[in-house]
Amino acid sequence: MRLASLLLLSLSAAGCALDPVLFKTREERRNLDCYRLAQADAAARFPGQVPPQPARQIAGENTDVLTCSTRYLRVDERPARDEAILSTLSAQVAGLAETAAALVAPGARWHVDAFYPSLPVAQKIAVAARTSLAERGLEVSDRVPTLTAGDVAVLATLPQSEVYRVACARSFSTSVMGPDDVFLGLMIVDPRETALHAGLCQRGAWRWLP
Amino acid sequence: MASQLHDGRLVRVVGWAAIAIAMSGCVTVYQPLVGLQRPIAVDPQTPDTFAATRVLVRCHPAEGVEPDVLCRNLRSSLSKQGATVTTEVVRPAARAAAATPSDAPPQYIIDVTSKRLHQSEDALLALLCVFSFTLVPAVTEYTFGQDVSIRDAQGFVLAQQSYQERLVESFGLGVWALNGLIDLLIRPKSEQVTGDGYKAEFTRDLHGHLAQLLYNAKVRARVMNNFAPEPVAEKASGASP
Repeated sequence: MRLASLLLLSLSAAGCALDPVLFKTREERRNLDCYRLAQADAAARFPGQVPPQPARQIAGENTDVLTCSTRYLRVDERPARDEAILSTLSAQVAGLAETAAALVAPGARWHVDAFYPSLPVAQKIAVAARTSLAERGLEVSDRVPTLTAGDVAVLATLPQSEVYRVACARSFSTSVMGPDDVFLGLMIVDPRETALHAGLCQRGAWRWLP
Repeated sequence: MASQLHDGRLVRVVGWAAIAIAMSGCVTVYQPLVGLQRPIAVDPQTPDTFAATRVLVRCHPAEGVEPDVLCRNLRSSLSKQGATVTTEVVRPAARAAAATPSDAPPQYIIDVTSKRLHQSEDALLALLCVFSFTLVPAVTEYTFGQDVSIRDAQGFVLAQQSYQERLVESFGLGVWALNGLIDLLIRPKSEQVTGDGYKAEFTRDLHGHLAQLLYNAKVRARVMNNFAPEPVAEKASGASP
């Protein structure tokens, strides 16, 4: 009887101490967003859930806390490529916008568009890029330079290596874009890639961002 | 007489403990933490994704991970997708790196550093595990990280990414027997936790993401060269003129 009570007590203590991930399915584990943070920060951010730092840890012993939350959208809810792009969108777009902003002299008016097979995703990419440029204090226009239907029909026949260069030259020569306008295009060029590329069009010259 | 009885009981207890430990097993649960749960757009099973692509995989040693094994596994995975792979285990102290021979210089250089970032064991659970004859599990948690960067032959960084995963290992007769029973009767094969399924799942994730990263790097190189066709592999034979 005494042994059984002890065992029950041990098991219940163990149950409290066991990692919650042990009780989750594979899908549930993959749909958690987790990151580590110092126990002091965790206690400040999640009071009541994370106890404050004990004195011996304040004195120097380093501990951290793994914080997890369930994703709003499951990993498999969107097409794989869209999910891969959108889940890294802010980091990718911030990097490209930073490079683009460094290559253009201040005072330019920025226009942004994204070329992606799915229109809603393309719009998200473009909005993210506009926001990122605006956050850097740049003048960003909502207007997207648009070529005529005839120009677009010709562009559609060109190989990928030429299409952006020709479109850029054409938009400058037809005054769709002025000398103070800069166009930042973000795109994927291969159906199986998950990284965005970007190019700049300024005064009729197109260049890919490194 | 009392002492003999006492000794007999002690031997019996130690015997039971030994049997319990011998019969115990591990249940390991894998949880992708950073990057690895993200879906990929390439199919790592396609045999010609990296046809005519020469890759050098350089594995850097770090705490808690065997770079030789990592390099060997990555070589096997990329070779199955059509790449010509050479490997190199970078040892800072060694005179020369152990590189496998290659016919032509690599087009892409993949640097992989895999390391253990965190390890923790619950002392209370370990104690309870011993005193309960492993009915209460001892739990150890590991977090590993992989930093991957891909450069072209000139050293230009084409892609880089960091991944992290967590392994929670429970040791004990109770947890092993219970999960073994659930695996046998209820859980589908993909959900089973008593075997090496966690290794297969992690390998699938890491190799898939590495393939995706290499594919992205290839496309980026093509864009930076303004879509010029890739140069045909030159045979770098040992007999130079």
